[in-house]
Amino acid sequence: MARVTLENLAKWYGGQNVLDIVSIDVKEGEFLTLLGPSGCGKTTTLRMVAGFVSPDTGRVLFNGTDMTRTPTQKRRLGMVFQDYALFPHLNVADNVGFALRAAGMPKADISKRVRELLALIRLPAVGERFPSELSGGQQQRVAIARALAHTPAVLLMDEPLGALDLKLREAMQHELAVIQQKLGITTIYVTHDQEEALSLSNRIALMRRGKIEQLGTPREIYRNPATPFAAFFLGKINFVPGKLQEKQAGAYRISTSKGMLLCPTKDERKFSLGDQVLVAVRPEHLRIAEVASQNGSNVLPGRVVRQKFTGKVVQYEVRVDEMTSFIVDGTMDRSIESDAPVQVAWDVSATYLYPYEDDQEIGVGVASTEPQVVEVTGKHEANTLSESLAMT
Amino acid sequence: MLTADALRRRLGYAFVLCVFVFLVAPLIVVSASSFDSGAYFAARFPPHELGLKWYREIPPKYWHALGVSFTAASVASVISAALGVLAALGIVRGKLPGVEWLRSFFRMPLQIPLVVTGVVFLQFYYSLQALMGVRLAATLPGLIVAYVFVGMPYVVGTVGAMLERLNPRLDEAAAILGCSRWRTFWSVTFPIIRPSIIAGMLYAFVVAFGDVPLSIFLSSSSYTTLPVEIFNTLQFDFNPSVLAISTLIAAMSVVSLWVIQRLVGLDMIPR
Ligand SMILES: Nc1ncnc2c1ncn2[C@@H]1O[C@H](COP(=O)(O)OP(=O)(O)OP(=O)(O)O)[C@@H](O)[C@H]1O
Ligand SMILES: [Mg+2]
Repeated sequence: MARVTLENLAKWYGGQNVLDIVSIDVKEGEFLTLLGPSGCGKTTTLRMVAGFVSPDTGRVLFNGTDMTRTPTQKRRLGMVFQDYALFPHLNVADNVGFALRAAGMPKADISKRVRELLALIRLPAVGERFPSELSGGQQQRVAIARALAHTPAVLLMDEPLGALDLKLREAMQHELAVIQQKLGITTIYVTHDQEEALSLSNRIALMRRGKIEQLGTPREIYRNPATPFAAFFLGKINFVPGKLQEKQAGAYRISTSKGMLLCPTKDERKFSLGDQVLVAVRPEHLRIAEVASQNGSNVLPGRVVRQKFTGKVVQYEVRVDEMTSFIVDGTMDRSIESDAPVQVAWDVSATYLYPYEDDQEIGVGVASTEPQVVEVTGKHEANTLSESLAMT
Repeated sequence: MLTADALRRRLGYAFVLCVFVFLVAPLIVVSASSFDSGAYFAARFPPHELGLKWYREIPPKYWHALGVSFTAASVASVISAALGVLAALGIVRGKLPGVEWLRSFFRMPLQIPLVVTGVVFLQFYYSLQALMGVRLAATLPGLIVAYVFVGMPYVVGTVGAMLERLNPRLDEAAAILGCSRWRTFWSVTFPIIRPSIIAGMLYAFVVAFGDVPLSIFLSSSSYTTLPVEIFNTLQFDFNPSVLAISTLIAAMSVVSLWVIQRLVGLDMIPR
């Protein structure tokens, strides 16, 4: 087991700054996930840990020892690739025992260890088969067994479940978590699937454009997103732009096009009067209310324009003004007619506040004159301003 | 009554049969005539009296020429394989500038007519002899060098095609699992590209072994390859024992193809 320290890693390809000063300290036995949209530099970071890419600046340390110039084969790593990269000319047993043979372990010991590993991945009977004779999920498990055979200090995985269908992916997520916990191996995991990251990780490093946007436990990031992007990428979020009008005891008053909103003040970020700000709130914190104002709540008037039944909840889309729609998670036990005027209400404490910045990717500050479709990468359901606008 | 469908199928079979006959007919004529043991100095088909007369009368110079051909072609195909694999690795894997240029450079020998290559090599050997006193014309090394020149592109072609399709992640996986570059080559890359190496070697061997236009410049009356010897015989003094040796070689080719097929499986060969 090892502690992995990434220190000020940077990389340029051509003129493009692919990684821009990335520093992460991965603790011993930790499951750390690099999460982010396509092209944000997750794979590049992981390949630097593996030694396939050398950083332009910065260092990679294992247990405090500088490994930046150490060749891959001397780093004691295990890696699971997205396309598995099993050796097609070797059967499963030889694939799993590959690292042991390279290390010169006696034959009898190898076959004993291979049997153990095949039992661990619950595929005891496939040793004689070739990779081409296995299903995708089975190949995946063999790839995991192969990566673990030589008890590596660090396990690296680059979207290992990307090629599997949904059901199998869920089953494998569970299996991965069990194996990782059982062995307590330091793991760096790459994905752009937020649910996978939330359910598997001890900590998540949320990346964007070659930078770390936020580093923390899944709960921390979900409950207290440091940036609008973090709020947008993990879970769902509604944004309303506004202007800071007044500071009260413990709260800011924000004026928006449809009324005043309150936001709790937090120590880590200070705003001044007159600042352009972005108010954010998650759909699950919203209620649809009939009465106008309640104490300790923010309320915006609107009109239900669409509703979508998703199983657990009914998602209402509430148009607040021409440019702002809110997604509200509602329950089924109350039916609300479309086009009915409603009040959207939420607790002041559930309100996030950020400095305003145009950011089309997360649907902020588009459409000053006309609605436009914004392609959101790495996230399938983006219930944001831009999408709502596109629906008009 | 035949339905239109059945008729079409039969016509199809007939056509395939015609093509097949067209391909093997010369071989059948040659080998059948070689078993005729009449006194005539002519190829008679079908044979009148069966016997091994012409096999017994194969002159020793044929056996000598066969030895020359076989040795030169074998050695050349092995050298072609070694150099060809290195070249293919460099072209496909190496991050060299001007790789496209290199690629066409290695295809070039296939685009020059062999007669021209033969003249060029002869000139080259003569100049070498004049300058350095090394004699290569009409020697085994001279033949081998020329055969490597025309044989190597085949290996570069087959191995290169295989390498292009090889997942580069496999090398990375081997490195992660503790293999040095060298060890990765021998335990991963080589076993996977082996069938393509053998296929390329086979092409190189066949081209060298059957070559006349190139070899004719690089041999003398006392030092010749078998195809050149056969060519001369057919041209100047026909003797049915030529049919006998040709039949033997055809038989050998079939047997060796079968053996290779059993050992490595030619169906794995990229085309
Ligand atoms: N070898 C390379 N040469 C040039 N550019 C590269 C190279 N490798 C990566 N890049 C660029 O670096 C950026 C980051 O790539 P990277 O593969 O790390 O992204 P990622 O976060 O893994 O994305 P994805 O989720 O799509 O796999 C991309 O813009 C990519 O085009
Ligand atoms: Mg990637």
